[in-house]
Amino acid sequence: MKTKNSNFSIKKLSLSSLIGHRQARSLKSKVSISLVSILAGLLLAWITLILYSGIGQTGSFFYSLFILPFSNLKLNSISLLTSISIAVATGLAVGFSFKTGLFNIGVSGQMLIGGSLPFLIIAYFAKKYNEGFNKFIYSDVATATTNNNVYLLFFGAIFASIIFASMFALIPALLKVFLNVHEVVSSILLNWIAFYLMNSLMIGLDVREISSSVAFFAIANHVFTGTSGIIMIAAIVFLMVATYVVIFSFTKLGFKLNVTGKNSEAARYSGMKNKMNTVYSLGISGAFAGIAGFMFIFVSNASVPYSYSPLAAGFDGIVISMLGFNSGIGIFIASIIFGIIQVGKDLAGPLNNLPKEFLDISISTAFYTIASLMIIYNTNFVGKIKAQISYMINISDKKIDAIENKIKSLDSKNPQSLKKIQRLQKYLDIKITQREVKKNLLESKKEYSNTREILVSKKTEMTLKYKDIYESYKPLFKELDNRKIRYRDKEIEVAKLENKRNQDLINSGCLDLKINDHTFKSLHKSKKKKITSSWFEYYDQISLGVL
Amino acid sequence: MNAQIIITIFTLFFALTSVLAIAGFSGAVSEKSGVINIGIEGMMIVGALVYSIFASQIDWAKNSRGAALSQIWIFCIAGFAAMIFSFIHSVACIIWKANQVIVGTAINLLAASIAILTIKFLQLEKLVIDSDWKISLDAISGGNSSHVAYMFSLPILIVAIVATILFLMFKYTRLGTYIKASGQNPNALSAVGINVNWIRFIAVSLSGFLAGLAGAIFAQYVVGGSFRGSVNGLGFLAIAIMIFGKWKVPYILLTSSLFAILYAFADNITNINSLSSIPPDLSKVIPFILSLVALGIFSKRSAGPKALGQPYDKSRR
Repeated sequence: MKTKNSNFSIKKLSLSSLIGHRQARSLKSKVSISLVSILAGLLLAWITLILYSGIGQTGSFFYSLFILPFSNLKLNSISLLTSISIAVATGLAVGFSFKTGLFNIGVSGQMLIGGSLPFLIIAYFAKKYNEGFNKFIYSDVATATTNNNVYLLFFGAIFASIIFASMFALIPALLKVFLNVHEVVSSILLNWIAFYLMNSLMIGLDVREISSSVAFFAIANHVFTGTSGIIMIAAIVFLMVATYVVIFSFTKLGFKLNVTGKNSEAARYSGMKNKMNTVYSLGISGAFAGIAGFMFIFVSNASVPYSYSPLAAGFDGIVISMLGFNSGIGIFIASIIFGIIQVGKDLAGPLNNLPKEFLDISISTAFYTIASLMIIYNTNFVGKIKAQISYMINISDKKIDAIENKIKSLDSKNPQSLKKIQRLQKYLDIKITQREVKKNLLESKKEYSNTREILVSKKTEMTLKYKDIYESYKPLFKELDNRKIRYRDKEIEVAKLENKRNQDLINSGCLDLKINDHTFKSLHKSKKKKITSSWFEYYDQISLGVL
Repeated sequence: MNAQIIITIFTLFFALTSVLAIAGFSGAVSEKSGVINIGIEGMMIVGALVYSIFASQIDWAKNSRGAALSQIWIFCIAGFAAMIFSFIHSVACIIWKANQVIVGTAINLLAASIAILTIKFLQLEKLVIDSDWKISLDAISGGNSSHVAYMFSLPILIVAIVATILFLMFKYTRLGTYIKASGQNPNALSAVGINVNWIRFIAVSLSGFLAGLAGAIFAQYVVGGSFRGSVNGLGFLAIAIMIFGKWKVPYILLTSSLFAILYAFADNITNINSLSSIPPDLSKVIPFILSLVALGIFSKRSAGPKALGQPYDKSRR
């Protein structure tokens, strides 16, 4: 019989195990978990739709949600790819921090800073030097044919986005490393700081009109259009996923980060610098967030959106990285589904007379449900509830007998039933060990209470027995204490007398202990120990001589 | 700066102090028992939502007002609603031993979407409560917003009661010491024969109740009775205040008043003539930056409860 039982072993739960990559799950179970939670989330969205507009519309709505994005590929392919790329970037940003045992919830703020700071800078200069800007970008302003300088602008902007976002992500990292501030709290505060700062900059610089002018759509309209635009976005997505996969599976840094995420103590003992790893992790995560911000603000919106709370797109990354179980390819697949839903939502709403805001909210509710379901699945709650129930219900011998009979009835030569037998055998083992454990527990509880009673009674006996003896010894103890005190007083008196005698000797000139201050200090500095020891020897000799 | 502006600033100051202090107490109660509660923001949203639905939509609550004091019941209902919402947190963190930070974040996101969804279901932009629901020293001011007595409203009374109750609870009662022990040394508590998980459950529920109360006060007194489905990140400020106040009731009260005066001043900065050129959003950043700085200064020195963030495991005793 096996003594080890999986239902009763206690696993150490850490952040990384919760997000999934630590638990050894098969690919099949991972996919099924993701699919089930997506379906549950969509079910919730469906229910809210029924409550809002009745059953009639919902069927056609879901049909158009998934089919419409593909109906007119010429028009929609760019927006589809853009939303997929934003999803990939945010998912990778959150996933990178999850894999290293951190939680970068500040993706929203990093996106906003990374995307809108270069945007506002460019918009500001485009407003100030309007003609020069047009000359720089357009070879012919009237027909809006662009120069190759647009690509220069594009590369500059995406580079600036990455730099700004990862610098912003370094703030919580440095606060964590040097000042022990939890990265979640600080980056939530930074989200709000970024949100208010960008709002006020947007109003302060007064670039709203310029951002909607023709000149400013240069990047969105000239780089990201047609087949070249599709290739560009696909290249960005491919590069991001490839970097993520390469860092974690082929580089030293990735190995270090992975180990730190799995067990930070082990990483520390094997000589990895955890503090440096925190900085690297959040910095790279911020770089991904910067790309997401670039795609969101330059390509998808072509303006800085004004809202009442931080960007919701940043929080979608949590859901995506959970659905993809933090692996690069998993995140890619999850974000394809995500991107299709995002685009389909915008297309299907007006067709079914549903307001855009309502759809936004119901779909985002669905995504948050998915996230919470993923958390629940990863805490292995089904197994825990089963264990709890089987613990509470008395496991009857009848059931065990029934399973044994079933095993006997099956043909052991048939390879198909052999598997079944093995499974049943495992189940039987678990049941029997559970029964035993419960029996043992009850027995030990009884034993414990019995021994405790005996102990208490013995203790009272002892105290009663030795009470008299203790009482008789009490005055002796008191006497001992008194003598101790008297002895200490005497010692102090003797020390005082000695002190006084030495002082008298010095005063009367029998002893000349004056040494030049300067020489003493220099000696003291160079050979501290020797000086002191020789001083005491000298002192001893004097006292001996006097005596 | 005339008297009217000073009175509006101080009205907001008292309301914000009570919101931030009660939210800070909510965090402190939960963290003292060893459970990190980042979901204060979400629980506040639920409290604010339930309060403003009762106050603006449900007829019996509106009609049974008579004396305006009957809204105290609705404060309690909001608290209990947030308490029930906090069961998500306690079940996931205490029984299933999930990561407390992630569950808290999920609660924040869930609550925000629930609130906006419900407001949309009622086919409204925002929930608006009648302005005469505000309880201040009515008899003296007569509802006149330029009267000094207008500043002293119901939240001051509520925060005073809550603060004294919590202070006495942590100092003198058995439950208070149990909660402190379950955050400091759960093994010792369990060795005495007390169920650590049960104590933590009570603490998180109390924390949820307080957060709901804070949300209700927010909906009524801070945003002037119009609730859009967001509490403007005050729940996160409360976490910073809690760390700043070293998890102690009087310190939290003091620090929250410090933050509140800044926030109230920043909120009314456009009304002050000499400073009206500053954009309003820029002045709203100040409390957040200040709380970040405060976190940086105080996080290293002030040690929180020892067992913070660790789900209790009896087998490791």
